[in-house]
Amino acid sequence: MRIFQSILYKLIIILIGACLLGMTAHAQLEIDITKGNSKPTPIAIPDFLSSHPQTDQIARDIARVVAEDLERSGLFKALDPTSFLETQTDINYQPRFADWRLIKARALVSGRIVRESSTRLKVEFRLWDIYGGTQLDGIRFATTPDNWRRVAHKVSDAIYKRLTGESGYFDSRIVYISESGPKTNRRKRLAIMDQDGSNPQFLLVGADLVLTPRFSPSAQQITYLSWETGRSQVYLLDIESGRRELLGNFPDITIAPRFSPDGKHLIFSMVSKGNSDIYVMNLRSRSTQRLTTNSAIDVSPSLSPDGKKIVFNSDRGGSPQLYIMNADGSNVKRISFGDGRYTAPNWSPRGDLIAFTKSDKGQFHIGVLNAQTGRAERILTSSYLDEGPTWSPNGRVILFSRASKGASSRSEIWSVDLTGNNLRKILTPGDASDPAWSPVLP
Amino acid sequence: MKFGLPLSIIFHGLAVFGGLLVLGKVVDTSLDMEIISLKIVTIAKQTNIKPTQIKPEIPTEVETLPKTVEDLPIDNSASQEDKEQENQAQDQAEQETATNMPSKFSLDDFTKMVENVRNENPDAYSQKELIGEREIGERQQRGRGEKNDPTLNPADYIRSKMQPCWLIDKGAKNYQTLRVEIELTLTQQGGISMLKIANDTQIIASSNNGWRAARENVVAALIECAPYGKLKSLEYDEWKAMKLNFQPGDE
Repeated sequence: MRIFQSILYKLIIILIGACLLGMTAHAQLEIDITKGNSKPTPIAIPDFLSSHPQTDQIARDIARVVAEDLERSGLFKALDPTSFLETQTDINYQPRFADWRLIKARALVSGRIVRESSTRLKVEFRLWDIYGGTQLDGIRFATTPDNWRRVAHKVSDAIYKRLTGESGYFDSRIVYISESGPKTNRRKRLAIMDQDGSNPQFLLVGADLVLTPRFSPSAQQITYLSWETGRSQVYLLDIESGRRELLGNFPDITIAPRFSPDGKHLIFSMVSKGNSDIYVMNLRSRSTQRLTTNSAIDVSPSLSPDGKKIVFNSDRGGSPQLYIMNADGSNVKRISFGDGRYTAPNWSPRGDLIAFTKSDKGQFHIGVLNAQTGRAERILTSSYLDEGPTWSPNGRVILFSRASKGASSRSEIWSVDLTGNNLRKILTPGDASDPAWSPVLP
Repeated sequence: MKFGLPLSIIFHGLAVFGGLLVLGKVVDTSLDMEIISLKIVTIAKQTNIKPTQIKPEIPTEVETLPKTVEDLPIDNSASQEDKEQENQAQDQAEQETATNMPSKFSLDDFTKMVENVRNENPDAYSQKELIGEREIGERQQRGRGEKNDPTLNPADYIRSKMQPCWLIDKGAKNYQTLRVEIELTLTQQGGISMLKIANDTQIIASSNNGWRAARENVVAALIECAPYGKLKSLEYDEWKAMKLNFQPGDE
């Protein structure tokens, strides 16, 4: 009996204790926080340290390009160097975090250049988390002095990746159509530049009309349309070697070729007997397969990153709208249902969104919609003529062509991020249109 | 023997309470209740707060000046007739008042008179809904100091404090699903004494690297915004430990 009582008492005490603990747990304050802000992250990028007078300018230039890259992304704000309280003399020492906190820097990039010979540099940097008081990243690059700009882009990519969790896109290129001459006799030439607009150059010497250039996944090849033979034909150009190749001598007009994500196929439209359909070509065997057989106009195909789906533009419903089908042409379904005309769809490399051009009520827009549901349409830009969206390699930024109205109108290349707030013009030597963004360079 | 009776009472009491808990039907602690914390409001014996008096609002600007008498057109004939009518009406009213007034005070007569007056204009004596009127007490709240503000809600305070510091990357993949749960312990001065990511395992295991970046943004925001000094006006036990769930909401 006593044993039973003892057990009962113990049980009661345990139960009371548990109840009290439960009450204490209930009493803890729990707060749901849903509102922050979209301001860019303040980051301090002092000039890189230089160990030799000949690298002083490069040290300053690298810091400048890194700051410009990060600011252009819209996610970072490079702090004014005059506000810096600490002047680092050696990047191998931990910075005084309190000094950087005072100026509200969230991250610090400290770097240096070591000249190993007249043709060889060592560029290294450390990325510091000011509030965490830890080093987030530290990388060293070996390069030649004339390659400093690419090193700067690589540094930017590393910082971007560490602070956002997503791959950077600064070490990439843009291929585009350089336009010159009067409107009645426009000259359109294939050109290439770095993603920030620097190092622009022509890829072809001829004066032939060239359209819709697109990069291969290796970033080494470009496919484009040319009227070299008097009709629209698809070509393949190797950037490094300059070697060109005509891809299939089709009797009909071919439009908007684009590489598959694995680079093994080319997908395009072909107009035959007044009807445009979508085709896929095996680049090894050069065999071609027709994917759509509808009597409507089916154009602008773009493959999903996994290569399993194709988004394209069709007027089979009465007006140009966006449709998705399987890579073999089956299971076609419409995904755009808004007002206006939807064209030029482009599947994000991230896979989650599809960018498009939309024209409605006399205005052109660049927008995105959810690739799975076709819903959650967001319009990012509006102007007299915005068209031809192309994604950055990480799927965070969209490039497009913008033309102004009137006789003195200009064609320009602009970029916008997914929030629609960071709209920027890419500086080009002359008029430019139809951009295509390369993958990050190997 | 001396301690037998009190011990017996204590143990029997515990046994009864425990029995009720075990049975679980009579005392149900799992009821879903909203817990509202009530603070004891004490009244000081002396005060230096002067009583506030609401004065009628004086319009600061006169948009259109009323016309003066000199400005008005004079029509003597009309005014003469009006004066005569006015005098007649005044005489009649005086006669009526004189006949209605009781010669001697009577409670019944007075009550009857009041009822007559009310019946003549019932709207004037009915209750009106105070729509758009100033709330009673609004004036008094303004006079109080920040520290004595009885309306300080720790949750609202933390939310408002975090908003400028918490940087949300709205371009990140599925950014609205990137939830970061923080267990925070504060010092009595409102500084951070302990910060723990409650769902860190989940974040590390995720293939979405943006989640890790979101976590770092939250930690930086909490450190940047510290100390949370205003909480000192409340009981320390009320806010020394808290759980903060960061998850971007709809715009």
